[in-house]
Amino acid sequence: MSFNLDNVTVGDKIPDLMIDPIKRSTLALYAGASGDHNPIHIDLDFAKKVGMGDVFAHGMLIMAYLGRALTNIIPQSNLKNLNTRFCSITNIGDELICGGQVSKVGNHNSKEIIVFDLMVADKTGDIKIRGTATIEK
Amino acid sequence: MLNRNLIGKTYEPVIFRVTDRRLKSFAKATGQTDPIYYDHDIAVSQGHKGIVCPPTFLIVVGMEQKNPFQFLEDLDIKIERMLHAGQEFIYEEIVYEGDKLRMDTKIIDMYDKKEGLLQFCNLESKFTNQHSKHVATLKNTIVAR
Repeated sequence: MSFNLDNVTVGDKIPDLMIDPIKRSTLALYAGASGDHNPIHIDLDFAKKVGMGDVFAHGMLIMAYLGRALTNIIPQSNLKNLNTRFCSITNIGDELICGGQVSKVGNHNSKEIIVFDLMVADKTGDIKIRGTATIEK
Repeated sequence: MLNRNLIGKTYEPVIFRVTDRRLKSFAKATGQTDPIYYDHDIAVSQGHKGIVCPPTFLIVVGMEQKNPFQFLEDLDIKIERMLHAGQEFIYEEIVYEGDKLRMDTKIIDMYDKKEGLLQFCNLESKFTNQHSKHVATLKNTIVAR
């Protein structure tokens, strides 16, 4: 599925990207692939010791899902900026939905740009990440 | 309070060769379904120089340092008190399999919120490739609780 960049209006939604429930192995795989071995994401004993109860997902894994939601519909070469704030922790078992909509269509430095407001939330509506992406046509 | 004298501190550059192995493993771990992110031949057939680095891949380069959490030690933050608060990627050029990158990182700013209960630190990493072209900038905000 792709998004026609020549015919975009404010409020247009990007297709939701549904993510499989987060498993411990998801986090172990991402730790290995990213090199982020912070034990809070992979070591249950450590997580308990520091009072977290359980391991939780790398924020950057969730941001990678958001990147996927964008590159599923837009050529990556058009993506100029991706900016996110991490709002809450993603726990084991969470089922995430990545989505967003066009918030601005305009010009910047004499180039046509489209800005998307983005969000990743779980099924209960708890927002994990908010962000924006700037696309240059 | 964090040691604000560290604003402006720079870190040893990190040199990183983007290998197909790292890209394939990153694609698998993040559930990429588009083959331009893991299949060289398909990527090339679609006009790319090789496997494409996905939007958040460059975060891995910082993890190649001898101690990727050195800045936490410098700031005297225990790893369990640290949360990633924000992350920005500014893209100049697409990075491909085979590129040799250099990352230069600097502490840009520090500030606090909630009367000092939350301490923030901004780091910025500039990436250049083997042709000395600036390809991306990463801005990372961490918070200590």
